[in-house]
Amino acid sequence: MTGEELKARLEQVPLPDEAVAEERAWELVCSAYRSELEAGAAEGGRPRKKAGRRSLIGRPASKAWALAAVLAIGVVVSPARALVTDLVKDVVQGPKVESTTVSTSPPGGGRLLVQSRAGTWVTDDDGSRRHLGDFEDSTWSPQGRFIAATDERQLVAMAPDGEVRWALTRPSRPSLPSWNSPDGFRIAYIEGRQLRVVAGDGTGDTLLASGAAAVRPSWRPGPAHELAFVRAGDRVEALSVDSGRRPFSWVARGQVRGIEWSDDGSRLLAWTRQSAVVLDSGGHALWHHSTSPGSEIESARLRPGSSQIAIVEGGGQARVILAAPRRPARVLLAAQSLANPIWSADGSELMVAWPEADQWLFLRGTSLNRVDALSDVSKQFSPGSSGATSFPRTTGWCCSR
Amino acid sequence: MTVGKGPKDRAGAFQPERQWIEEASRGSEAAMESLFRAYWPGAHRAAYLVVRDWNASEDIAQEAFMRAVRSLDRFDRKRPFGPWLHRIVVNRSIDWCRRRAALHEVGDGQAALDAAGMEMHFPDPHLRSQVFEALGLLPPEQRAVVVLRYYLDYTPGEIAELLDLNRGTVNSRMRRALDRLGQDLEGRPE
Repeated sequence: MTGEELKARLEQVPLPDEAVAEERAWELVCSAYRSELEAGAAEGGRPRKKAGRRSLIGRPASKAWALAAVLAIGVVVSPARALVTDLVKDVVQGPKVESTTVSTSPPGGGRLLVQSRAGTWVTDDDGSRRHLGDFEDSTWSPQGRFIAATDERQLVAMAPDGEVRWALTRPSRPSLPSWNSPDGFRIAYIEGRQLRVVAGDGTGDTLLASGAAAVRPSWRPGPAHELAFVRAGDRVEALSVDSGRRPFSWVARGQVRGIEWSDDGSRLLAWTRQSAVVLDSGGHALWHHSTSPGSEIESARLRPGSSQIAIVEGGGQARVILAAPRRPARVLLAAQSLANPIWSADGSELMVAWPEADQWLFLRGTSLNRVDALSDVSKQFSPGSSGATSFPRTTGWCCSR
Repeated sequence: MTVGKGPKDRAGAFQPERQWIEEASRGSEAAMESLFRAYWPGAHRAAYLVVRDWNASEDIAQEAFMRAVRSLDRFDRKRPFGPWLHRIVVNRSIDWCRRRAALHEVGDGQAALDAAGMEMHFPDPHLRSQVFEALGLLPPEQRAVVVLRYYLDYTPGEIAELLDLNRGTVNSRMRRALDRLGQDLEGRPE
């Protein structure tokens, strides 16, 4: 084979979506070029020089920008405190309810990662909140030192003060980032139907599997970098990212809506519309909770340090249920709409969104029988909005200090 | 349009690369697009031939162009643009392959997953090129040398400069790569 023949063969290697990729790239490069021109014009000269490893096209998430966006929320008292009390009295089975002064921060401390139409926000213990940028999804790193966030083209890692550490530009929309624990060396995310992983420093972006469903992958805590994800809607697969080993594959009865490894890595929770199933580390079902007729599971979360699960059921009246193996489920709250349960890192508090009242509820105490509320939530995360605002979604509660 | 190192059009005519860079640095989007269109196909394909992952190759080529955009006002217009761009593309591609290897993702289970992903990108297995398969059997450093020499038309001396290697290393990598490719491809029509 001559050099000319080899060259001809190299030029004929099929390159998937070659023309589409070129247009995608030109769109991105052109956008960057225009941004450079605008910045250069603003500085009265040619395209400006930028420092940093990768550019963020039109991204306002610089440290200075984020610092400027720090807004004090201030302590507010829930106008709906009485409503909370009445609600809980009506529906809670047993626990003594005490309504307390509302704080802008979770009563037990820690920082919340919040998604609103305005983008990603982080709250702090001092009652402040910070806008990190116009991102669509976000997750904490295991120690809360960094945040991974996604928008329509990028996966970005930044410090909680908004300083961007790196950005990975993708050809399609990355979503559902998940940062492994405890070492933080891997971030998994979904792009289209691909499950992909990138190292914690933004390098080595790699395709792990095709046919992935739009369900946030969940890392099994531990050094093995084992990941669970949903394939083809109803199949939960475990994958050792470093070795390629596949510890198990489990098929659900119905489309899987979410998965979550327990904090000790011994159990995996998977939930569908009709049931929440707890698997052991080998993919064998240990127990399950089924919904009552007419209800469906909106979301479920394992309680850290416990075998309990908080389940939000919808359909008619929404309910927050505490389920555990070999015990009857207990209704904690009921209302017209409840959503987005999330446990504090130590499992002592359960936060639930109550969009109808524009509140976050915090259930505390050993029996979760004390309820605090944070009010006017949507306004806090939609600055400058005068019309109806959508209720924000909490994507993480990190690291009580 | 050539996909190689030189700014020539399909007829082999010289393209005004320096003029594009000069005009692009003064705000001409048309000049910027001309520069992009002239060099994108070669950069993208070179990255793909080395990393063998179409998403990664697109990222790498994009990143190289983004660097070009950010460096326009500082770019030394006496130097040719192609080698500057291709140095970034090929070195980033080699880095990507090394990091991927560091993730140990070529284990048996992973190979099956990769194969599944490849099927999605190439529904027709006959579309897979034999030369592409044969290149995949080479270490990324050898793939890079082959791509620079036979796809982008650089001389061994230029390759040594682009990859910060001595010329003897380039020649030995080239020889080993060609020996292996010859064994795998000789007598096998595409």
